[in-house]
Amino acid sequence: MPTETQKPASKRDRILAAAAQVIGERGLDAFVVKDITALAGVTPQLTYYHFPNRQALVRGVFQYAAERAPSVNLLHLDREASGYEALRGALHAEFDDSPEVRDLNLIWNEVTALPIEDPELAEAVRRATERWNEQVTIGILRGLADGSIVTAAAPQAVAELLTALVEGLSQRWLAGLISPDDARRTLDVVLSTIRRARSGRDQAAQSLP
Amino acid sequence: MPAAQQPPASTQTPTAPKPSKAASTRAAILGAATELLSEHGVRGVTVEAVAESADVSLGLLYYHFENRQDLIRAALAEALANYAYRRPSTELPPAERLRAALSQHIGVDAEAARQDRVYAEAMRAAAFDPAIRPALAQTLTGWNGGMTRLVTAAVPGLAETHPEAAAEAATALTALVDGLQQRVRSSLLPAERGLELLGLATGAVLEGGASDAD
Repeated sequence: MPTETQKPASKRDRILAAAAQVIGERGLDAFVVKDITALAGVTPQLTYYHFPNRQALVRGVFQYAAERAPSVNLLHLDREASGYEALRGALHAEFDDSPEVRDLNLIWNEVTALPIEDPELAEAVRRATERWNEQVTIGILRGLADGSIVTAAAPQAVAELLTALVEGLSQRWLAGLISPDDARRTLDVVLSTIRRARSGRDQAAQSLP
Repeated sequence: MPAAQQPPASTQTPTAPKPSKAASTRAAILGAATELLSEHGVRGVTVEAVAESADVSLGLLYYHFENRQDLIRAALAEALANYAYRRPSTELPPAERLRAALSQHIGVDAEAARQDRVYAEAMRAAAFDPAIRPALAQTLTGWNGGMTRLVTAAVPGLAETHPEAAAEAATALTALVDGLQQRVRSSLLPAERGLELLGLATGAVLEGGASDAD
């Protein structure tokens, strides 16, 4: 868990943390703003001051979830590991049944699963997806530089492909069709194709479940 | 919203219709619900809209379906049971057949996009309603199974690396299709780019399987 929460959370962040939890439990269509204010321990007026309507609250909580996505933040923490292992670890971290990680994924999934009606939210999703792709591209470049990753494809394309795969697996995991371990194993099928094999035996071992 | 031209004769009482009539009323309600579902998503499936579109009274609708959630579950299950993807020509080489079978879901084919929208709706709803999972799991198992057979045909040596290799490769590709399709649907990714990325992954996964045998 990144320790960026040294200073006490602002009221706004408290509202967003509560919103992430409530929406994670109930979904975007069914959540009740009153539950959020109660959980955050703030007045409805204060919530209204920060988020004048439901759309604004949804945009806020999407942003909150996007900024905290494990694979955006973990990628640069693991300095010791090879580029490949850091990338793999970061993407694997998305599949986690702990409520904090699951809620973030659920909010992302709720917002992005279907066509987005609010243009401002659509723009926020576009920016967040771009940023995620950029971070993963940087992770791939690091692996190319240290020789742990090898690919003939453009790093940006590989990044887009990997983040789309994570989203596809995330949907299945959140829908209760596969476990986090299943998701990681499936992700490894594609990840292993860019891993530099030190020997034939290593590569075979890598692709085993 | 186009209303049915000839309303079925069942516009009176919500009390026990005869079995055959009851079945056809139920089918009409479900048909209207799945239609609304693929056009407007779960959010568009309100009991009022379904009753109007099926030309039945709310009372009759509630005779067949306990509540909106019950109706949505039944409509999703019905739509998923009829979910059918186009089978590419068997004259194509297996690898091409696999590519064609996967590519039809990346937003270019209108009918596939309609079905995939319902599948995505079911996937999203299942996160909060476990009752939807069995129908969804069955659809996914069928799709993964079909793609596994194509992967096996495309790379016969794959099963030699380990028995589950073809199924794992197929599952990875269908999951990628789900992720790409979602971005295309949300206009985050042009369909051509989606197809390009899918081609890249398919090539890598098939080739990875082939080169393991080296």
